[in-house]
Amino acid sequence: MVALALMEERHFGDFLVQLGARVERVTLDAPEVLLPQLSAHDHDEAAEEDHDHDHDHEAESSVTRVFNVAQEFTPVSLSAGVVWDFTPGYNAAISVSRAQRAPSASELLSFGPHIGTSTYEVGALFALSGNEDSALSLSSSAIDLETSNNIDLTLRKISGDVGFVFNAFYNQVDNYYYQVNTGLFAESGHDHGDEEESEEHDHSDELPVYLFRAADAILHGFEAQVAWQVTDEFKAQFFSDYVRARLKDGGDLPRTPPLRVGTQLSYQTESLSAHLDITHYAKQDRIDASETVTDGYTLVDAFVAYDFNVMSQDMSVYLKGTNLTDEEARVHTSFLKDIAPRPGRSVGVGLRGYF
Amino acid sequence: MNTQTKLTFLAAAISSVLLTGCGDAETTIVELPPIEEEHDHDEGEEHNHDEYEIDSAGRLSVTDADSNALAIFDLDDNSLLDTFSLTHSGSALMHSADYRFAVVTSRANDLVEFIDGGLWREDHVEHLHDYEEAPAYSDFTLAGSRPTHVDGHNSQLAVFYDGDADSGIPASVQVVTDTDIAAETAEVNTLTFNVNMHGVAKPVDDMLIASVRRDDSETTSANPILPDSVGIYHRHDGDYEQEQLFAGECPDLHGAALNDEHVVFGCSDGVLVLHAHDEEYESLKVDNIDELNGMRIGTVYAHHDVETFIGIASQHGGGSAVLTAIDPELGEMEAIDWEPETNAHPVSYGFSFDGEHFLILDDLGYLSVLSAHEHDDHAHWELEERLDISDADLSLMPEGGAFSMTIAQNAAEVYVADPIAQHVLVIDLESGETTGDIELDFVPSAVTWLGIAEAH
Repeated sequence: MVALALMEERHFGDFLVQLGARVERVTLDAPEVLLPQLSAHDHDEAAEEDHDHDHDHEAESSVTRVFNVAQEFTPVSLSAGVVWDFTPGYNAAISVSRAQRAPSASELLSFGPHIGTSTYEVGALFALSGNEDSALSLSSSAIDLETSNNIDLTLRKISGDVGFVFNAFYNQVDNYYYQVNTGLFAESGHDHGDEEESEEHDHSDELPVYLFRAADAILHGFEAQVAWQVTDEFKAQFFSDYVRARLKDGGDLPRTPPLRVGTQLSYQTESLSAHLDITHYAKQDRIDASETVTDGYTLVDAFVAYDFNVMSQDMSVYLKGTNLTDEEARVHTSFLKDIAPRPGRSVGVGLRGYF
Repeated sequence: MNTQTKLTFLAAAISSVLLTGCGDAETTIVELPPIEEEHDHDEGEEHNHDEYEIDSAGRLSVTDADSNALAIFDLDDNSLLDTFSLTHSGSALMHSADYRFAVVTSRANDLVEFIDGGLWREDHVEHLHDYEEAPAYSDFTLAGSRPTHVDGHNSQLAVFYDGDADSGIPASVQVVTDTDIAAETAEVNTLTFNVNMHGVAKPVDDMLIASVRRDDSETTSANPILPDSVGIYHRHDGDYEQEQLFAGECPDLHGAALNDEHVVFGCSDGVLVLHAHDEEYESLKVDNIDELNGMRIGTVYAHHDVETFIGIASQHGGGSAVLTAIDPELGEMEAIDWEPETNAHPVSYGFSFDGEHFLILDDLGYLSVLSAHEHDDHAHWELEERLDISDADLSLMPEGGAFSMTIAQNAAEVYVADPIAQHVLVIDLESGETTGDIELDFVPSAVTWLGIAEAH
């Protein structure tokens, strides 16, 4: 990859004008891309019969198609922004940009199990075929750059005991690359030789097939943060963020984080420091068809530390607790949300020495 | 125009160029020849079978009665593959435990040599892998005083050295696998006795069941060079340690055979049967029967799929022979009426590869094929057919010569060497027909089948 970037900014009175541009050259050469016949199947009854039927054939040949893939991308990104100091201690900003991104090698060429997410990943170079012999074939769609047109609006208060940042954004993205659950399952590749297991049709060795695909999407939302220095020792912060991610043709994008609202209260003296963090994650019910609704939850974390001196050594004793209400918290953005919730309540006591 | 303004213009110019150029994406996909693979879902193991296993009739090693030559023939086309000069002439010919090597024993010269037949199988865990190479003289040899009995069982070959009383050399046993021979191992599992004896040993996993000669003052043997006891030895770090002794239970012990359940030794007063039970061996004695006419069983044959052992009692010097069927489970022995031709004296015996038949080759050139019939829960061995494998004038038999045979371990075939006609006949036991004739340009003294035995 080769890239050239340029940034310029200039003040015009109360206005700061910023311009940016970046051009890249990304090449991706994969001389031997293998497309094996993937006997992926879904787990409903009818399809299972089909699956068994396939395995009843005494002998069959598998054909692995081979491709030499060469790709060349030239993404160009431009941005322009204005920051207006409309009154002392405040400013407002607007930024517009058009950004392009070349899809990564994994987004295009993946074809196999991904242990970290327990999925069978298939790149955007491939598509579902509807063919009986193999669930996947080469995609007939052109591989395009991901291009986003963005507008950001920001209002800041940057002086005084109370400060804030409010930001709203709107992104219209062409060819947004994301992983979609195909509803099919493929063998993970472990225990291939175990004939008995496959005869019994044990699904434990199978992974859900996730296909990278590109579609036009619209993402909009906001971020807000307010900080209030109540006294010299006590500070309160409030924050919230939200994104609405949907497909242009209808439907929602998968694994989109829910609305988040939180507060962080801090108390700090020379020897004592304490934090109380409370964050609420809203229920996420704007979901892709293959997803399930994720319930909202509130996490409460607390930390208290006391610093002292023993024999000229700086020491600190602390008490730390996370998820104090022991909420069952599942992360909607995780592939493993149904398998791995966030940790339950934990409390720790420690003594720390500084040397 | 100041520098700042120039830069601004430059930025604007570049931006304009880029804006008009826009982003570009180009993908070139060329399909290459596909990789095709045949699968056999239901018979995956057989798929491997086809891929790695070799279908071959095997090879035949034949020693020359008049020289120290050993010839190896390819039984797929009966062609001569190679001829080797053995170190000594007049050697005995056997096969290694897994039939890869011809084992050549020169008792008088204290030497055991090996010729690689070139066909063997390795267990690669996921599949059995067969190899087919040219025969070759192995550099590996075994040395010991008076190597006499050579017995293979379950991939282990035991060479029994009788030792020599005159030189004060005790008897000993060396145990090697085909892998040991191929690797020319420097560490050979060995059991050394305190005294010489004309004995026998049978390897069973990490055990060795061997004859034991006790002190002449306490032996029950009439001929003290023959042992009268059996010891059970366990291997530790390459040496065998005695764990059990069946003292004095087999006077004048000679001849032994084993299947997966029992070990049978020939004794002057009957046969001694050993049977493993809870890691301990138990003994049972089966007395001689009247039909032996005062002779004793001195040779025993066994097959892993056959419960019955065949015991042979014969007079020294190739006299008439009495065959007995020994049921080690019931502790019974009965004579087998194999209806020999008048004046026929057996020269060679053996079970067919599948245990269906017991074969007797006699000096008149007949091959008697016996088979077992169940009657009253007993297996009775009877003559099924007799094949005349030589129409030559027997008076032309070279001095010291004899018919000899070897039994294929992958098919119902037997190979009979005829010193008069100087050929080896291939006999199909299923049809009783002679299906091949390997012409020799020398007088054969012994033949041994080599190759990949059918798994059992």
